[in-house]
Amino acid sequence: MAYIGKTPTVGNFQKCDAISVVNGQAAYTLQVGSANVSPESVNHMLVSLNGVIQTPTTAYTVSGATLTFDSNLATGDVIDFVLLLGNVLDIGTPSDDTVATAKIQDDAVTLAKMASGTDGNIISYDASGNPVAIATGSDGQVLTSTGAGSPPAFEAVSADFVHIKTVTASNVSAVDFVNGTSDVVFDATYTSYQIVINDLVPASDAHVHMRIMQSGSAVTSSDYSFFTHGGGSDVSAGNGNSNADNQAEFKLTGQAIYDVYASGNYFGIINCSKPTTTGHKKFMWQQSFASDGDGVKGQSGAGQFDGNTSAINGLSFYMDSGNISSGNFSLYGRKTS
Amino acid sequence: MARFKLLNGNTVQLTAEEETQRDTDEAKAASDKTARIAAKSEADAKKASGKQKLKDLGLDDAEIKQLTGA
Repeated sequence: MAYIGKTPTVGNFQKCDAISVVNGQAAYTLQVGSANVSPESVNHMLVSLNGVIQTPTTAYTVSGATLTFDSNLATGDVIDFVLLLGNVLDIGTPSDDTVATAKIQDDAVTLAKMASGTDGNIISYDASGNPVAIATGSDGQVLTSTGAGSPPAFEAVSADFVHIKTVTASNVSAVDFVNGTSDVVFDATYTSYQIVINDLVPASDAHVHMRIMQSGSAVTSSDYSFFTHGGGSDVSAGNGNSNADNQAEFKLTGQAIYDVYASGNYFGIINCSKPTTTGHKKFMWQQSFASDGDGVKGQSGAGQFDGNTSAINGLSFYMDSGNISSGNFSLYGRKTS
Repeated sequence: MARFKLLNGNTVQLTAEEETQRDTDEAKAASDKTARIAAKSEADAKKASGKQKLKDLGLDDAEIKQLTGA
């Protein structure tokens, strides 16, 4: 509340302890509470001697805590009081809520002067402009804006395109991703899924095949339809083309993949749209590349499972003959909203 | 000899049903490969004989290539 009337004077006014006159002595020590005090200057004090206010400088001087009269006092003289109008040694203790920002030097407030807080909190400002502590987030979360009117918050990273799992194959007959175990998700969490195959090398020259999985098992019925469009730098254009119906699997490669690793043997991307949405046939799209060191083969295509419109919960990859000698298979999920 | 697959990153042995299916797949792959080779051989032979017949009719290689693309 604003002050009505004249603003009170604020200062460290002190009445000195009583001083006993010593006969023939001009200098006396000024004390408050038995502790020496030093006036700001000779003009920052009132001295009464024998009932008369003394004239500064003329009647007395001051140096530090020593008051010196212009002549020695004598028995019978009485120093009535000495009143100090300020104190240069310290400013005393400011009253509560009286130190404004102008009284504090820039860069003077160190971290050590700040009140303790909670581990991991971050200082921000609320809608009223007042400081507010942002609660500590969890491991992996990031600080994000929550828009005007509210302070930022720690939140999980946007999970619109997520790497789910990468597995490394070594001399196995198949690589399966099935929803529900070992951190593998292949359900309605994501609108579509993508599998990226890197550096696949078969045990013998062979084609890459893929089957859908329903209820955890690969579907082997002859209900796969697909087409591929292929070619290569050292084969005839169209080598690898196919239009196939009623097959027992998707054939991802129209040309055999060589069983030697040469500059990155096989690289493929397979997309699966809405695997758990029932009422429509499951559609896949793929593109792949293979190198034999000298030439490169390319393949693209699309496929559909015609057997039913039930949900699928995984995909299985294998060579049409022999094992997968090596290769990395990565599963990703993508959201559309 | 037992065969294995990678299931969500874990190596597991094929079930009996999967072993049977795998045998079926590999047998089909082998027959498909044989069929592909036979089909390619037959196509190559047909191409060669057709080209020879065109030559017998008096066409040179450039003319045949313009006609057949090969």
